[in-house]
Amino acid sequence: MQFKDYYSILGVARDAKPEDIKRAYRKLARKYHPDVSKLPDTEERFKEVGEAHEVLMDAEKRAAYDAIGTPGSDQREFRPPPGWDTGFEFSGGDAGAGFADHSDFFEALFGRRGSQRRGSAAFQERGEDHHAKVLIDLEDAYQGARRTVTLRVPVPDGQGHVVLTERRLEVSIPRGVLPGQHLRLAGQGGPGSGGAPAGDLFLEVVLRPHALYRVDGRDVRFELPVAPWEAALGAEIDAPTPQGSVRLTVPAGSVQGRSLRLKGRGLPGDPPGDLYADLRIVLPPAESDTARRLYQEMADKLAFNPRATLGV
Amino acid sequence: MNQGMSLTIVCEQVEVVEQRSELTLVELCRCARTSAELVAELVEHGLLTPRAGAGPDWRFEGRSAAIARRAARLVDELGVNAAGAAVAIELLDRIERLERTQRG
Repeated sequence: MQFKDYYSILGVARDAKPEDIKRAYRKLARKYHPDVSKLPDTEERFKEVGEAHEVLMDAEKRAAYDAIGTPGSDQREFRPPPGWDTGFEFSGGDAGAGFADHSDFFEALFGRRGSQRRGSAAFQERGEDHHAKVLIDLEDAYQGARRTVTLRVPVPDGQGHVVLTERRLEVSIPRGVLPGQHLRLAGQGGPGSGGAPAGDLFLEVVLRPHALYRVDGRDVRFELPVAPWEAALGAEIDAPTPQGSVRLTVPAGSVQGRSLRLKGRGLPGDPPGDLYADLRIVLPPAESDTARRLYQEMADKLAFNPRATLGV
Repeated sequence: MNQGMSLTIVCEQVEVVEQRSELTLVELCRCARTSAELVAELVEHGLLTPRAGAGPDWRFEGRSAAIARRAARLVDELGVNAAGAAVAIELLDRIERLERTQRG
């Protein structure tokens, strides 16, 4: 297990005051928030920053964390000291933790805090809703798919502890589903008490980034490289689409960035989205004698000034 | 621990919340994991528009769920208020549109 230096994650000193910790956290949370940030692996960083904040802002947890000391710089492996979990008692009170998603390090230190049910079983109360994410590919959104989702569900073990059990669900992903939308699986949340129905499971759809296609609502875009003569003279070319390649007509006189619309070939729906091929003109390298000769011929024979509009 | 739990449950009944024609306030809150108070504020700031009803009887379009969830995440995780979340979402959408036209 990897030791997490919560102080260095937040960039604060070990004797930092709560205000400083809060301020550092707020700043980093904005920087790494997955909705706001375009940086790579923001999700991971955001979680780490949140965990550091959770520990260091809680006097009990911070004291427990400080008590295990700092490992040497080369000691990345962390083993909890014997008896480390007996001396501390946590008051908890962590509200709304449906799926508290902490690192192994955090869980080794503070235990797994899942959804503790409050109240008595004598009340009729619907089970808790659970929330998780499901990662799908663009092809899944086009065709629909079956995905197996593994959930770690906190379950009371009858002795006052909460243990995590794994639940695997095979979910059919409906075609035409968009990133950010939610799949509701009725009755797959926490069990109800006193005969009340179970809660629901909500799965937020996350689209795995595609090397070629970008999704914009129901529309899908991609960059289509063309040769200068294909753009200038027009051409019939083969273009990829998420549903297989199609024959596409590039109109004569096309300029860089021109979008060709393939109606109805975006994500399925009512109405379906469109697929846009954004033309990118690629110049052939002037590496061979033939290429150089042809470029020279254009230079000699074409009265073409690309900077005419700049007044020079 | 409990090895018997490792079977896979097959879920055929999957509903896309955003494709529902209508959501009640409670349904919206459950899916977006947020409170009626925040939803009311988001309505006040124009980020959500009820299609019918008033107060607790509001009815929303299905797609409101994704918007409300996004706003709730910003509120919960960044400590902004409803107005801040509304501004952030409008600016983020604008950045996205600009980046698209730049690439094109």
